[in-house]
Amino acid sequence: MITSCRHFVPLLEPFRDGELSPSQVVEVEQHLGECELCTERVRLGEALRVSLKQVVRADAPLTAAFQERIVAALAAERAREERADSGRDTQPRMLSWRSIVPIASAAAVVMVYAASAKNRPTDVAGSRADMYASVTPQSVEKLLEDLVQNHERSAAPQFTEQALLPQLEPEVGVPVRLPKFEQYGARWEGVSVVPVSNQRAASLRYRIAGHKLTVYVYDASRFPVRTKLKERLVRDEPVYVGSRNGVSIAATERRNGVGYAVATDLNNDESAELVASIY
Amino acid sequence: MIRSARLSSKAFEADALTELPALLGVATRLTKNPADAQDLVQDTLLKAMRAREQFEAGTNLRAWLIRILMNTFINRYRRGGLERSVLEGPDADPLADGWISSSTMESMRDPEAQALRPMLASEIARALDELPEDYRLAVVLSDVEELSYKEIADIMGCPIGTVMSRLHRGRRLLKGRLYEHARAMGIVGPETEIGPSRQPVVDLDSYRVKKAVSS
Repeated sequence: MITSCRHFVPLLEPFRDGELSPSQVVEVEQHLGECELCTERVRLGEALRVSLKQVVRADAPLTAAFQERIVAALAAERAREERADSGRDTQPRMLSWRSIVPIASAAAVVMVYAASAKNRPTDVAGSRADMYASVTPQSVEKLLEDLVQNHERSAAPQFTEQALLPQLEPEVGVPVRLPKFEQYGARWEGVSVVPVSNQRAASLRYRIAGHKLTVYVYDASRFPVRTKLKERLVRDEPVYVGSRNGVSIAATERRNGVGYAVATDLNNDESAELVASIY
Repeated sequence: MIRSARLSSKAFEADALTELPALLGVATRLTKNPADAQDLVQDTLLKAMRAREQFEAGTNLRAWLIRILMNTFINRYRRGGLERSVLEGPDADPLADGWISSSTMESMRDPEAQALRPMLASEIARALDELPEDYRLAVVLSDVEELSYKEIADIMGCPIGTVMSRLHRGRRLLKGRLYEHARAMGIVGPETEIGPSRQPVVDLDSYRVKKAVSS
């Protein structure tokens, strides 16, 4: 009995989990017909499985409110996609990017507030999708151009003390924190607030293995750069990547409404990796 | 072009929504906090929606979504990855749970509900949450979400053998914990009270004695 149990016990869990080959299943079933102890092992395992299912489902009740929240978030994402698509494919729209900035800023304030609350109201997500709809491909192109030009300029940074970073928040509209690039051997050189299109972004300067690296921190709701860049996933995080004028740009948007873009003369894969590492 | 994109996003959304209970169950077990779990599920679904072209049709959508959920969880809450159990390593003895007799196992079950006896079931949530994180995840993904070993290995980023060992150890710890609880509640008696007429107890000592004799 023990000898055969010793052979079969390691097979009982894969048997229950449906991971055995058909011939092994036959073997195990034959043993179960003869062995009360192993049969009881399988039954207890099954009882445990049923109870685990009940417990895990009961502890995570699917409320109507949560379902509605998810459906609304997905609908807003779909609307955003469709509008981004039509922004790409059609001629410029009536509203220019500049003229909607006041609306956008107002919406952005709501966004930041909403992002800090646990449940993000769906109408806010919708208004963000509407904002994106009014962006023209040209205005976004201008935005990207400005990011590249500022990167290429070599003006001295406004300051180099990290302790002063929180003071930039009112100017930029979002908290400015230093990305942790030490793992890539990057050295921080300083920060400036720069005009980009008619917005303002924090421009953090780094040096990485002799290459110049600029990281922009901005209010993502006002910088629709992703609509002109190509989406890819880095460790399942979406990042938006493209090149302009030999400079690689990679952007990402965080849940709290903060956008980050890196401009480098590294390649697109490296820029994507850098921006994906920011949290 | 736009029309087909919209259609596919709608179809994807409909499929993804059917996995909401599974995602929320896993997220709740990972975060141990309902509000964080809900945020985690929302982020997961938005990411999945944006990356839906990378989903291979015909593969398990639930497994794919849970993989995104895991990565999101690790990025946000656990920058260093999952909490690893200190008990990793080959499993020395496949009969290690042999000390529970068949009659004891039988009395831990509720034959009508096909589940554990209700008094034990209420203990499960606590026992589950006290498991090392990677054991807990393996058990939930297999027993509750019914993923295959291969799918669990992909999600946890480890070989299939490690999944099997984590599952086995996790389940064994759960059973041991429930057995102790059953003893404390008087649901089962101590093993020594089981008479010789009952199914013989396969305990470690007798196993070792036999092994010593035969070698």
